[in-house]
Amino acid sequence: MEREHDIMLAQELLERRKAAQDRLIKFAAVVILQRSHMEDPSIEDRLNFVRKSAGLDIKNSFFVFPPSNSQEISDFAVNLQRSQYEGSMNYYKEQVKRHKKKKSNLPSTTSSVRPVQQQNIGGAQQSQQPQQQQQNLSVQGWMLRYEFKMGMFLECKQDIDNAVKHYESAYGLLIDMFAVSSTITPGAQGLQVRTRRWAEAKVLADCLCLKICKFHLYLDAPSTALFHFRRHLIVFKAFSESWKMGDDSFEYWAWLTKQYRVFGDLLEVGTRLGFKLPAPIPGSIVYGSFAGMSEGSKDLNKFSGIGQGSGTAGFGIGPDGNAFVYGGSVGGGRGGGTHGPGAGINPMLVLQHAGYFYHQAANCSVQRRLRFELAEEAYPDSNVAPVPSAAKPHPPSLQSMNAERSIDHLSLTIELLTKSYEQFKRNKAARMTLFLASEIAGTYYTAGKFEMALKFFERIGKTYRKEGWTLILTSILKWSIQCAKELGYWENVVEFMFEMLNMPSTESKRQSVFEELVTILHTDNHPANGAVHRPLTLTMSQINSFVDCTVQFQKKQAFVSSESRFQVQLSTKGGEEGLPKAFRISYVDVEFSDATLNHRFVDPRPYTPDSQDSTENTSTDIRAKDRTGRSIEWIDGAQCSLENIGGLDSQEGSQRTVWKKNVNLDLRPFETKVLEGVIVPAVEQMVKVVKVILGITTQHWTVTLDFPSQDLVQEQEQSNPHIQFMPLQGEPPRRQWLEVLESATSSSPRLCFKNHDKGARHAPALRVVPRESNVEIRSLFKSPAYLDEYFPVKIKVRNGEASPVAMEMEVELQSIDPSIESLDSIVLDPHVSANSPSIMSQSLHGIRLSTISASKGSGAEVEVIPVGGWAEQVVYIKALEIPTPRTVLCKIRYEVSLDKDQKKTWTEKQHSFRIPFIPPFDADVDYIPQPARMHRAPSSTGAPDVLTPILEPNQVDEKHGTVLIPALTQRELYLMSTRINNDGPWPVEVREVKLITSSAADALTDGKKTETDGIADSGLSRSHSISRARDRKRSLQDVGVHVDLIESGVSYAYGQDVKDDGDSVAAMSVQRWQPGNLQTFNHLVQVVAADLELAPEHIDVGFLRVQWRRYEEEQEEANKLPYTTTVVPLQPLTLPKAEVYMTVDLPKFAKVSKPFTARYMIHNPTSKLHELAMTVEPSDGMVYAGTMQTSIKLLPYATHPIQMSCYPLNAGLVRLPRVKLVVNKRKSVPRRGKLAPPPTSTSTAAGAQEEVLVKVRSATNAEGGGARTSTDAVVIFVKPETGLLD
Amino acid sequence: MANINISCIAIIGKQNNPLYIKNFSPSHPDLKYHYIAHTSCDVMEERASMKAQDMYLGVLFSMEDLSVYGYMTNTKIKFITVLTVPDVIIKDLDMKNIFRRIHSAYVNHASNPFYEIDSQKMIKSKKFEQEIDAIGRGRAHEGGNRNSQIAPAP
Repeated sequence: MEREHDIMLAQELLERRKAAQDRLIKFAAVVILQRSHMEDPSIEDRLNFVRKSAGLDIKNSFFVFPPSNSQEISDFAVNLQRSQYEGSMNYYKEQVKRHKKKKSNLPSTTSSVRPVQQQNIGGAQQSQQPQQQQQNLSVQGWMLRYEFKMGMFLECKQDIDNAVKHYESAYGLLIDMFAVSSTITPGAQGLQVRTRRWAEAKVLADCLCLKICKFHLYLDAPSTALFHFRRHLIVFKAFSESWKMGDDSFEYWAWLTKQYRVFGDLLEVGTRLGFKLPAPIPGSIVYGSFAGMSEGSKDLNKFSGIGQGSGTAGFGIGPDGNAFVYGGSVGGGRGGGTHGPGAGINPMLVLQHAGYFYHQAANCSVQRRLRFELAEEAYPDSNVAPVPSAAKPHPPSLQSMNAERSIDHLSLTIELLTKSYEQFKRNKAARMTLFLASEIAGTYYTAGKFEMALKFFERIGKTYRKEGWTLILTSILKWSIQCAKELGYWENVVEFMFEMLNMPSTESKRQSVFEELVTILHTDNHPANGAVHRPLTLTMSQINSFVDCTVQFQKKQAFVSSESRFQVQLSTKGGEEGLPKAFRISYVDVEFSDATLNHRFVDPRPYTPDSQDSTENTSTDIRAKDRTGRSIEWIDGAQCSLENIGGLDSQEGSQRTVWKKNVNLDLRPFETKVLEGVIVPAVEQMVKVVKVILGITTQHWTVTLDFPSQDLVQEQEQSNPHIQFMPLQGEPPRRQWLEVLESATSSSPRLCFKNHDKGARHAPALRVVPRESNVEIRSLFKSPAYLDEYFPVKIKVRNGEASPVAMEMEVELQSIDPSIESLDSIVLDPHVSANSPSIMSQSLHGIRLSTISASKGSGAEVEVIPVGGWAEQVVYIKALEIPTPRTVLCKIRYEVSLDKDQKKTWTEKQHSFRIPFIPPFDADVDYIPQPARMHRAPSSTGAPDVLTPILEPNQVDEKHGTVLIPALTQRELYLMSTRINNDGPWPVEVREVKLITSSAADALTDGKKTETDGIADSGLSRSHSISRARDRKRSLQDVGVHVDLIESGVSYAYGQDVKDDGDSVAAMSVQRWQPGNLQTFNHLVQVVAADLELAPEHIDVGFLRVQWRRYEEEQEEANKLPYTTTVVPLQPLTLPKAEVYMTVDLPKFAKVSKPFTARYMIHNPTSKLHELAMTVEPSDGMVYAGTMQTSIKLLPYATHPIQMSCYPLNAGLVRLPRVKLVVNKRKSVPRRGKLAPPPTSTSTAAGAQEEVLVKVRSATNAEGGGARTSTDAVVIFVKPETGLLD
Repeated sequence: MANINISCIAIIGKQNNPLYIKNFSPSHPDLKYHYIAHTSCDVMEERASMKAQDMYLGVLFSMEDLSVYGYMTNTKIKFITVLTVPDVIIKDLDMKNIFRRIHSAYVNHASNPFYEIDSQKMIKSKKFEQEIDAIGRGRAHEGGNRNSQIAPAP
């Protein structure tokens, strides 16, 4: 079975191979294997069998393709192509040769050897037997055939250069065959029109042309390609005329459409695949493609006779013509070019992108439609063949008419235009796309798709409007109006017509637009007015307005409640003929930013088409003409009446009101109408004109023309309001205020434009400010002020107004830094505020001012300050913490009536001043350690020497509620000597100076806040300051340190149990500190550190609390300020470090030659084991007995005694032998699991034996002054032996 | 010059606004040339960005039987000349000459102190129109020197 099948396959292959061989075609076979074949072991043999039986060469003509993926397939295909390439090249070469030979064997066309055949051909084509023409091909036909074949084979051979030559000659031969009488085959007649052969030849010619063009594009010769294309069109145009289907027939245009379209497609594909269009920049090398010209002209020689032959004059190409011949400066070849002044270019041969060709095709399509419509008109019946008439001797055939009838020309056109549009869009030619869009819209209009057309027109109108292409815009508007009318969109019609009013066109057209618009608006029975139209709002800044509208205020600034004049200037555009007649608007609304000022000028007269200028107005009109003949009308718009126009204000919910006046609102041609109105703004503000609205209200219409102010502002920057959106250029015209001049000479006033503000175009904003105040404000205070005190500031106000006024004052303390919460406050009565500290504010409002003479507290009723009178008010400013100047802002407000009317207006005056603040006190503290007392102090707890501290039981510190571990606890006593300096220049009265230790303060902030501490005043602010201190530093409690006040020296405390309000009681103990005084206070404090290792290096012992007030000599007691509390911070205390130290116990004195014992005690307050090396350095004045050198291991929290017997040799202050203890740091490096306190172990370099000398701390029993320690030596006073001093 | 058949001369301001458009051929309506002038703005801008030295920008595009040539001054005033082309070679030199004449006519006009250079109004000047007309109709320079002219109102 398989075998049979294989044999059959081999047989078939063999046959095919032979058949191909006969035609000189090489034969190769590819066997595609299935996946199942791969497992077949016999497959190899089978393939071999097939191959051998078919006689195929394994190398070049038999391929096996196993099943594989796509990558392998393409590889296989590439390999297959590669293996066949050479063979195929040879084959094509052979073929070309063969056909060349065949062609050369053809008889000459011109020879009269075969006149019969020639005549036959001609006769056959001309004769009545068209069916025979296929059998007899003329010599020229054969030539054409061979040329085409050669071209084809060369193309296959990828020899484009030569292929195109053959195609071109084939084309030339073919063209010649169309001619009425051939030049190549003399005597031969052209192809019979509308025969099959003719139609085929025509298609062939089109195809050949396209192919030639394509190849020239391949060869990067775009101009040559275009040349061929254009030549084809020209040639066939000429032919078409001769075939009686010239450019008056739709057939010609249909053909042309197709040509352009196909060429466009070709270009589009080409450019998409990377073909670069030449840029026809002058001077650049783009003319090289004309190299093909010489060949082209050669070819033309061959059929240049066509022009004569066809008898038409349309064919202008020829060697004699100037079309393709350079003036002697033809480029040297492809890629070459011509430069220099003689360079030129045939613009028709500059290849452009496909968009142009599609557009051309679309144009042709339009022509085709027009031609067809004509034909359709002439021959409407689709069943009757068109009959030639005198006017149309060559009607189209019935067949072509019917074929054409089925074509939707318009959608074809739109399709082509859309294609073109896309091309231009891709080439970023935005304006071209607009043009095309207008064409598309026009086509839609023709097609009756008005909706689409309108959409397109609306879309493109903007750019033309923006760039001022009014002619185009007019055309678009005209079309749009047509569309809108067709659709019955009357609102749009009106909208477009309003813009049309300003469009340049003939007078009659403008007149008709105007009249139609007026008719639509005012005629009740107009078809447009079937119903009441929705309100139509036109934003005039976005369209070309027929009227210019500007608004300005006379002045840029005005006072509250005073009159400000504004003018609305409406100027009709377009000169005398701008409007055919006066256009009446119903009202002009002027909207201000303050809605209460809105104005409405109404023309209440009913519209009558003819009655113009009926001057029954309430307003005053003045008319004049300016230099240019423009008439100017000034209308008095003042004295409006306030009217309710109904409706609620959306924002405020109040009734909307408007200032209304009836005026004449006819907009006459070439006229500037100026409406002058008056506004009286009631409050201080920036009044702006939001917009001006021209409204037309008729029975069916409500049309509002908006002139928004934003654009007015924009317009301000525009040189020319004629065209909107344009940025500013040049100098803008000056704003002109129309002024009415009452002239003495004539009875009527004159009108005159005046420039205001030197060139500002408009003044659409009015700044309304309060009247300038004549009040004088002074502030009196004694600078500098102290922090914390209630600092009195006297503010004096003088009424400089013409009338007595009641004034209200507002005082505000401006914060130093807005980001910091200010603690400063300002009060009227310090006593009140001292008693209720929660009342704290940085501003005071509504202080009624009273005259100096008036008694205080009479502010309940409004007191009027007489003209020139002084009012006065003291305010107290309390500033905390930050010693910088404070700024105080003082505002005086009062109502005063202006001169003009009796309406009162608020006036305000501000005054600000700065007060420097300095801290009142400065403290300096010395800490003197009191070791002796310390030893005595804890002795109350029991005998200290009985047990080593580590063995002592834990103690409970009841005072602080903490547990103390004796071994860790470190107690120190310090005498604090504090000097307080009264820094400032003012004397103060001090009631109390008290040390508040940090522990006490901590306890205080922890909730035990009591008033008994005498901190009633400013308790709040103090707790503030403490909490701030706490933020900065950890609380002492947290680190296990307590500071207790043991004793205090003289203090000014008047006793803690005396209530704060008892000022008189306390007065006894009050001290007066003069500036620069220095006061010293001593306090004994005990510092208990639960664990020194945890304790910080510096601790805050506490602060001094000073209760004081400024001393004013002449003040009565009642007026005196309350005491305030100032917290004076103290320098921190440096705690001893947690490290090994040594104390020494010496007798009070020694005597020469009397030995004494020096007891050293080494303490280890740390949690670590320390190894110490001890050496003793001898002293000159003493000999000693004791250990000279040893090492000591000191357990954590342990002490180690060293005794030394000394024998003084000299009297006087003698240095003891120096005990030098060195902590061996290296030994302590590998500690096991012990928490190491970081500060002492400063060992950095590993291995370096760092030695830390153990310091001798202040010796015990130092009271008598017998022994003193300095940093390095312990000395003792030695008495002489003879004891005279005893 | 003989083969140059000017159909339209257009002058476009720097905001792409038309300043002057004159149609010399009856074959197309004014609207067509307005469209063409407007359309060529894009091409000119593109062309000018490619090549900045020369004011003459060569042929911008061809549409139907019309070829559009462009020239842009340093102040971005665009001159456009539309030719009706019977398939001939147009020498750049000829075109440059035409544009130079247009340019000098424009400069003459712009030198008028009463002319607002940056205004977007269409140019209305008898003298200028005459000069453009002479260029468009292919006539040689006419008119006297510019100092002898009466300054036309803008």
